[in-house]
Amino acid sequence: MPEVDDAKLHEDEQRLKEIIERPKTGRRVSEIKDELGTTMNQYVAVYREEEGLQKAHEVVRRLKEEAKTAYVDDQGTVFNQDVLGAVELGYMLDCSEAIVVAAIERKESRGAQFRVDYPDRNDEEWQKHIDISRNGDDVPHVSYSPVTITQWEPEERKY
Amino acid sequence: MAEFKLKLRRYNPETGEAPYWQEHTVELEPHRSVLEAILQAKNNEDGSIGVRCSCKAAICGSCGVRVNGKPGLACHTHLDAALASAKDGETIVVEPMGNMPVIKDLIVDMDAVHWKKIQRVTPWLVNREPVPEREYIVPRESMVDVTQSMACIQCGACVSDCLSMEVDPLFIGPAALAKSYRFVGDPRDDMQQVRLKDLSEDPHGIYDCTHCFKCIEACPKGVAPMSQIMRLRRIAGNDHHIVDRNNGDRHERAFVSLIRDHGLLWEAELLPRSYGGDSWFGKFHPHAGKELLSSLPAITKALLRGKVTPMGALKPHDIPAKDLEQVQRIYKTVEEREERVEFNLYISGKDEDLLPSSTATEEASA
Ligand code: SF4
Ligand code: SF4
Ligand code: FES
Repeated sequence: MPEVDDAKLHEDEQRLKEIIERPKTGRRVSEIKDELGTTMNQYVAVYREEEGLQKAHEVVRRLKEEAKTAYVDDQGTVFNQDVLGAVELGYMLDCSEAIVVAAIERKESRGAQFRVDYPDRNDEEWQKHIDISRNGDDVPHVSYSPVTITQWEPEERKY
Repeated sequence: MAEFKLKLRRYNPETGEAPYWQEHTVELEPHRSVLEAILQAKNNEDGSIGVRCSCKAAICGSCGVRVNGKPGLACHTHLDAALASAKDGETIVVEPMGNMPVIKDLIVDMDAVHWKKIQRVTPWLVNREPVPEREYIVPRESMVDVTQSMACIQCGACVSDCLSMEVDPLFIGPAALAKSYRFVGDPRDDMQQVRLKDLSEDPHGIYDCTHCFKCIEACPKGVAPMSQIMRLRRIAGNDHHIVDRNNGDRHERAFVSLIRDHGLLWEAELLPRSYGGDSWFGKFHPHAGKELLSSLPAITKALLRGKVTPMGALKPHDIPAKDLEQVQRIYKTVEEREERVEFNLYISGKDEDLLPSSTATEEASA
């Protein structure tokens, strides 16, 4: 087990305490999670296009704001799944935003992404990884890295 | 969509208050699961409801609960079925599983009971020495034989309602004993005899099961833990001739021969023979006297409840001669078999059945 220093522990404790003590003025955590799921399913599944992706991005940004004040019912310290749900919601929102931003960025169709507005694979411009990083920032940063081709040469999918 | 009335047993260890009931009304299609209903109540009304779940597909074993008093998986119980078994015809009652301490609401302490017992049975394969250089080749039949016990998803539903565990919390229990069969039945394991001796001699081991069938009924995966326990007993007694100090093996033999000889159980003779030896003289064995003395309370109870009558102590129940003959024919057939027949009811049919056979194609095109 890696050592966890006290300062970090204290910070996390404060974070949980803050969630537990939020006033019930915002939205329910479960409600936000539900809207996030529905949105991602609608706009960011296999078939994607610019307009839908932009819409999804807007929703995710709004939900990120709303999540800051989202409240939980469970104030206890035993098996508090409610507060766990709130913490996980944060991760879900981060992942969702990374997915949406990368999907908007990649203007071609490849693998599990089918861009209705860019139906073809474009090796010239897009045979590269899109890296999304957060680096402590609230907004994801986009960068690229090259693809290393080993045994299997990429080919056009014909099925 | 239909409305369902859900009644949940809530418990919060931090308030110091006793468990209480909470009702919710949820709206879902009848084919959705009780788990979905609980989650809807949790999401929409009260986030503090504690319930474990993960896969929602009856494979992770997290969501064991009691629905209308019966243990099972919440995600594997359809709402319409749950409604049909509702005691008052309209309220689906969900409670935590039994035989395990409740941590919170529907969440029980699996570590304290279930996992401890699983650890108890050395739940891994002990290699034969020397370890072969290449992989073991295992006959297909022996793998089929342990498949049933391998199907366990560790949900604890069988543990929840095990009658023996209710009276003896130390009983190793259905899930762990089924797990132990998984290795006892594996030809690669080097500890068959050691395992069986251990499980026979442990006063909370294989002979502690009362044959109540509750675990078979409870199991959502068809593991039939009780059947696995009976197989452990048969291998221990018949193949390894383990005569345990708990009198489990002797008790079983006395039971079997009493029925062979008299067609029905002769209750008054059962204990003396289990303790003193498998014959009418058993009760005169010094060993029997001592053991019988310690069983006196049980015997008195049996007398009081009319399970045994003073007259019944002297002679067995009457049964028509031709019926007795039938009973003995069964014994003869079974005992004359060269090999013990073990049914594995989990896998039926053959591999070929899964392939599109030529006849099936012909039928389809006809
Ligand atoms: S059959 Fe045996 S193991 Fe199964 S529930 Fe009954 S007592 Fe327990
Ligand atoms: S034997 Fe069946 S009921 Fe018992 S833990 Fe395994 S899957 Fe669950
Ligand atoms: S949620 Fe996995 S078995 Fe029910």
